[in-house]
Amino acid sequence: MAEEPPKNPPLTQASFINELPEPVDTQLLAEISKRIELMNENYNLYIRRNRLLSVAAMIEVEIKNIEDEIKRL
Amino acid sequence: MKLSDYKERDIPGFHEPNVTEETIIRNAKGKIIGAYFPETTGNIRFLIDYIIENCRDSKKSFIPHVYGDRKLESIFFGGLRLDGSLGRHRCNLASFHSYKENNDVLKAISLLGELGVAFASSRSDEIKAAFEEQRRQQKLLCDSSVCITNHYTSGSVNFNGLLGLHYDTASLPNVLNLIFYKRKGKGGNLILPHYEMCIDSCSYSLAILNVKETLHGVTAFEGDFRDSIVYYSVSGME
Repeated sequence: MAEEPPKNPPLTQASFINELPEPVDTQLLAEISKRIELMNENYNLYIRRNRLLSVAAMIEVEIKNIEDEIKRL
Repeated sequence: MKLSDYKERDIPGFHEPNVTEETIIRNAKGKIIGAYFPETTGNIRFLIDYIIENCRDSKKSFIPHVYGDRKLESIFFGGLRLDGSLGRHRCNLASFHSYKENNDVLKAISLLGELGVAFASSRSDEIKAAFEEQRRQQKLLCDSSVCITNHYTSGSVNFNGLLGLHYDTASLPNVLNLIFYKRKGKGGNLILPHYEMCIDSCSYSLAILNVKETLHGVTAFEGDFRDSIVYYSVSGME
């Protein structure tokens, strides 16, 4: 079973921050860092969930087709 | 040819821009549907360069599109809509998020989106109010864990994105998209036929536009490159 991603991955400062020509609110930078690192950590969870949802949808369609056939009998 | 003669799906030819100064665009009812800012800020200029140059090398994530005989390559970021069976929509994350080496450029993309909204808001109280409403709408309707900024679910970095005339029907309503440009060449301007507007898509300018309600496209281009960074919000991100 795949390892669960950490809930609060350590934040790393982006390399470009020190090159910005004008000051930027540090709270905004921290919020962005957190947002992106969590999104990236979650990527595999979305893939796994959506793969399972596709399988579930295929099974539901198959069940519905069988039920329609039963009704026709 | 008059701009207003163009119809949806037409591919525009060359047109000289008739919007080169800061402009707010309203519909017939007076509602803001767009704006244009030829000058932005030092940070925005820096981030446009940083993002476009870093994404240009990242060929593995390019997704090709075809529109007429124009080919466009994009990198998508943020939420993507999956059209599931049985009428269910599910959100997904763009594959650009799967590579750890893209973390810095994604942070730059998120920061540019926030700075673009802050810049446009600083130029008009009405735009500021529209963005505040947009933020509230996103909070209510979208899964925050796939949203690239507080105002946008998604976006793309587009290389030579010369799209024909279209509406973005999958957009959430009343969203003002952000479009940042970098160009070396002639043409590739944003046109809004119903407003008889051809907006100068010069490097480092910013256009904002309600793409769901406004017919828009890009004029013909000749030169080295015409790139853009676009922020939008799609429906189905619950």
